[in-house]
Amino acid sequence: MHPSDEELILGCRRGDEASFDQLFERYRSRLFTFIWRYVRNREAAEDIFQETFVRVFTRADSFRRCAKVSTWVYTIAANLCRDELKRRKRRPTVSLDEPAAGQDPGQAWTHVVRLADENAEHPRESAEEAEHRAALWQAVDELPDELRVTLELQAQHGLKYREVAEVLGIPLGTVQSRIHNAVKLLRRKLRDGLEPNSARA
Amino acid sequence: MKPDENNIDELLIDYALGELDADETARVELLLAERPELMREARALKRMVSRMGVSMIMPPPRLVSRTRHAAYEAQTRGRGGRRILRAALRRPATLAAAGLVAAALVVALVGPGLWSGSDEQPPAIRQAATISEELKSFLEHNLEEMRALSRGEAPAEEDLSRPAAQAMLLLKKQPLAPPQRAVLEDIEAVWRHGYERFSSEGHLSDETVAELRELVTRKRLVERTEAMLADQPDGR
Repeated sequence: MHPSDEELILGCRRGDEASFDQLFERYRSRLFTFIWRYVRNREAAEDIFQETFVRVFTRADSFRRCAKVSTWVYTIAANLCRDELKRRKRRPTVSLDEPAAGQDPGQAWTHVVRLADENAEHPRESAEEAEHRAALWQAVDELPDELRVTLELQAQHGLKYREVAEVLGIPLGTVQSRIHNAVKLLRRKLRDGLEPNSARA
Repeated sequence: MKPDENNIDELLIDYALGELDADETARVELLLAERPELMREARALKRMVSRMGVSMIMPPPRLVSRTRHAAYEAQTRGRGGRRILRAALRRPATLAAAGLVAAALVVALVGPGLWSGSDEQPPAIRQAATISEELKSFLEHNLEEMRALSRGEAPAEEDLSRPAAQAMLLLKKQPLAPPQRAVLEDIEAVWRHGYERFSSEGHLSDETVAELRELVTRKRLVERTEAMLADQPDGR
């Protein structure tokens, strides 16, 4: 039987590397995706990814049992991402990863597609489905950052609204309105070309 | 009861994202059965959500191994320091009592008028006011950290717990003149404040760094630590 996240955290508290390894395996793709898309800079994303897991292992004893491990782990990453964005605002730097407009057109998506193709657990998607998916991610990338990050935590990472609120440190109502606005914007963008039959009468 | 038609867009989004409870879901599904256009929209929303859900980015292998290594190393390094602080924080009453007993003992030995700052202090008092190598090294290290903090550089997070723990231990075991004790207590309070914020927030935020900097400035910790180091009888 697989140990629960909470059991693995207890192992981390004892300094057990095997528990940490299992937790790391469970969260590494999800967290790397979240962090990279949050900060949109590869170098910063890698540093934050590393620091997040260092904190998960070294501060397992600050995890409170009433919380969910996933929420706690995402909160650590989100706090680091926010600090990075604040730092960048104060001391703007030019990165090769980071287009001048602040967008990251296609780059993260390239890796998303590659992973989907290599993932043997999912059947290879049709060309049409790949096209839908690409259009969706392009539209997501064009959303304002606040809406995009909030929506991704729910729809891509599977967190509930209240967990998203906890991770981002914002009220539940703000999460709901951001997600509603994000989805409405996406539907508007996507309605034109790819899904003509799904438009409401 | 039928769902509120004014919020139907939001309700469909919540439905597609799996955020409705069982009753709300049942009510929405009844409505969808009656309204084909809403059913099409709900399906499109669900497809969109499921397309987002399977897309993840793998971290590169060198980052995976670098991260594992850094975590193991930090864990091994950090356990000692955190244990000391936790143990020290758990017994503030014991520490306070130990401080009082030590102070009472010294007063009993050398009499009142202790550490008046006069040059006519008896040798025992001069001796008590002289700082040990251990304390000197502690002050020098923290002076550097506090200077860096005053320049706006964040302290190393892994080291946050150690100055507080060390200061408490030094307070406990060294006979110190009140001005020295006050400096050490203030250093301990600043780092302890930082560590507590850091533990509760899960990270060292810019706000915490700003607070620490403000405390260091307000308590004139850099100047007082420098003075304490310079005041030593052998000219240190």
